[in-house]
Amino acid sequence: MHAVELKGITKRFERVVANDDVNVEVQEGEIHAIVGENGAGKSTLMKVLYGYYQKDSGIIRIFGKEIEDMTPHKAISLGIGMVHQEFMLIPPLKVVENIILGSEPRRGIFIDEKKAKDEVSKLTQQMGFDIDLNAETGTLPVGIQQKIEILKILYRGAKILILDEPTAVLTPQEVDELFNILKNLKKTGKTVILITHKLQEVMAVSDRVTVMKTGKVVGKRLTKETSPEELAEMMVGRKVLLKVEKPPRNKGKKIVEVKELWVKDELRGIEVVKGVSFDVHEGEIVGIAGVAGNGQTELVEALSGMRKVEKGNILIDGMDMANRTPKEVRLSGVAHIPEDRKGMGLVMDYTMAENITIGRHDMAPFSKGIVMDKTYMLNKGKELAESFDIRPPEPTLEVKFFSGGNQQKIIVAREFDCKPKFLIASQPTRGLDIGAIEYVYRYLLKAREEGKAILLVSMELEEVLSLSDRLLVMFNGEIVGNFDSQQGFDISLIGNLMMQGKVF
Amino acid sequence: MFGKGRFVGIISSIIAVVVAILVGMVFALISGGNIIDTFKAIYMGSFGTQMGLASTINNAVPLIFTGLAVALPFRAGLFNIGGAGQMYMGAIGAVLIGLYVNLPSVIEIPLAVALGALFGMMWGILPGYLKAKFGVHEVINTIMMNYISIYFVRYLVSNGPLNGVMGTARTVVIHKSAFFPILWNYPIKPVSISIVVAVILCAFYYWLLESTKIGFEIKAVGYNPKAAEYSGISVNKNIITAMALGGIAAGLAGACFTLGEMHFVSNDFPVEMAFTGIAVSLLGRNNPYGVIPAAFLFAALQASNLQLQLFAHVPKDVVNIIQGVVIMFVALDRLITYLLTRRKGGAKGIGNT
Repeated sequence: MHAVELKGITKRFERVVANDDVNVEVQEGEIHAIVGENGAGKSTLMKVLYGYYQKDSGIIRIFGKEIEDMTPHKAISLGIGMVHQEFMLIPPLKVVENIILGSEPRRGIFIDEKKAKDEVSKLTQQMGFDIDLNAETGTLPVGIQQKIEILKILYRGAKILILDEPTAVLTPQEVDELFNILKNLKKTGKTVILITHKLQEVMAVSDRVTVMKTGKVVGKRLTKETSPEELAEMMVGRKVLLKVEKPPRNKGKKIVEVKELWVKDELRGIEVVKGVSFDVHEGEIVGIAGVAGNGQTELVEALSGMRKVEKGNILIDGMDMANRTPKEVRLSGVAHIPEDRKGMGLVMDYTMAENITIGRHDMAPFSKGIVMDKTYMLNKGKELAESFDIRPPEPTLEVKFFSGGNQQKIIVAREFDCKPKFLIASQPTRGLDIGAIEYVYRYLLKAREEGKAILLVSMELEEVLSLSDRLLVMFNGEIVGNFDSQQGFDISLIGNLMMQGKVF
Repeated sequence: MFGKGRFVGIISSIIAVVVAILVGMVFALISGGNIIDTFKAIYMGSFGTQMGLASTINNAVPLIFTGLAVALPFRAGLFNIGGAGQMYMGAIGAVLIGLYVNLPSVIEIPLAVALGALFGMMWGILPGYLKAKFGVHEVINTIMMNYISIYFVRYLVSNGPLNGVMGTARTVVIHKSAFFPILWNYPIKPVSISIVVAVILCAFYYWLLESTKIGFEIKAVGYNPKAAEYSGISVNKNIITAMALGGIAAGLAGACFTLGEMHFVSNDFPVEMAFTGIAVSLLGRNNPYGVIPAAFLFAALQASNLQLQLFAHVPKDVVNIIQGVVIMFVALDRLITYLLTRRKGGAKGIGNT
């Protein structure tokens, strides 16, 4: 029997058809992946299923029963639960309180706390989770918070679980753990719908796949009968290079020299970068691998002038740029794709043209005297939209209306257009779909061929391994390993260094 | 470069006004008036008669200035409650020239206006500096600055060196050469060139915000200070700039009111004008041009007080209720915006990220 059957679902938003005659059948007790690029309509479809959006036409059947006018309330009572990309937890509440919130067991007008605790801890044990139910939710790592979201849904008696891009916020270990949870849920007869654009995940955990592209279903496969290459081609509509092909390096003169750099986290009052030294030459990509929180973020912030340097030097083309303002650092030829795209890289309420201008807004030709040249800004926006394939190519549209991939393209376009000597790319592909990732890789390699010095910081080990000419491993604020691609990267050695900082 | 957001903004302002008027009408009915008479009284009291029109214009001028005094800092993400204090300082700046300098009008008037603007600016820069340098919240320190300047000015005009008439708390009348020229000599309520100065300042601030790199930086800081800092814009510098621009506008409110209408400064210089400016700025969506219709709306409501009581037999509180509801609905702006965008599905609904 089908747990979920969506027939001919169409959903329009003003100008855009987000779902166009979509048919999806999900078998009871399977893990069903729905894949597609950002903007393919996956999330919209799930929101229609969950009753957030009303469909314009089509039929929704849950366990064979046709449901008219779906609402979130109805969805919950039918046993549908959804884990959103952004968690819907209340940080100051205890774990157990968050789980029972909205369906609290009552005794009179009071919450039956004992019953709540018993039920929740039984559920937690069943799932094999090790969570302190009395902990304050906001203090727990995201991986745990996601488990709490899942528990919350199960507590409400969900039979069908929808997870929207659940791995975007997780570390590799947490991803493995999540997949085990999903497989266990399947064993207990639950149905799981997994929204994602990461193909390894689809291959690793799902039974069947539905592929969406620009609002339509373009393919349905049994996971065991397909390959990442085939899925990628269906998603993007063309052949996609999943492997990076890198021409030999053409190493030039030394552009960046970091000497004995110490950076302190002022809030916590501890050193987070401890005497780091490295250099980057023209025409090479130096990668920094490491588990999140080992000082990479602070290192990059110090390099870009956003954070105070305690001691040490940052020589850019021979000039010491330590403790200079972000502006001075920029002017010395440093461009930066920041890890926090929405918070730091873009002004979401500014248009594409304005975001392409920011940082250079006070110099010709973007402004003359104090007056900004809007025509030039617009033309620049159009030009970059074309050469960097930013969609939609509308420079007057605010960037908040662009998809994540296109927002990243706007940053990349701006930073490349600054013609830097040194490019810092911090988590440049986080949260992007494969089409956009391929695109970012292509531009990083292009910059490398143009002779720029590039520092790539990424939590995706695969990414640094395949792009870097030299690879540094950062652990606990120090550089504990230095590898060259010519000798080949020893992955288990690198993995050990990342986890423990030393080799046993 | 207009975006989608602005359109929704204007609509929600209009909705706020319409709802407020409807609520006001309900109160008019409850208090025994009838709707046609009430509308007629508001119209006659504000635009329908020469007397009404003259007082509406005169009421609107300080509100345009004090509206700008809130709007400009707001674009940098700051809430300037210090309009009152900045306005008092502006009045003192203007009155000093008016009292102690005696030059031909063409020199004296610009001088008085400039000193008023300068005093207001200083009173805006100080809290801006405290915020930038020490992180003191601008709401707190502008309120404190209000007390300092209001009591300082009251001292000056009552017991202090500027006291002009024994037993009263006011200065003497300034030199005739410092009087603003009159545009429309309606008896009792002559309309001076203040309104022109106000509109010019709106146009100038609009240009500054939308066409110059100064405005570009201020708005970037207001929208996202972290991204601004990252791209090389000094957040601290722009906090001070925005507060200075706000202070200039409030200073001009005081200066123009003194030079154009009162011609002296007294103990009971109307502080409410500065606080109504907050509502004007909100209703005008912190846009220098939006401030003009918003100021006229509040000015017209105030102007029709008398007519309401005399001819519609409605308490003047109806006007205050309308004002209050407008402010409430503008403050509920997010709700209205949310409802508007939700109804249409919302562009944000597309895509995963």
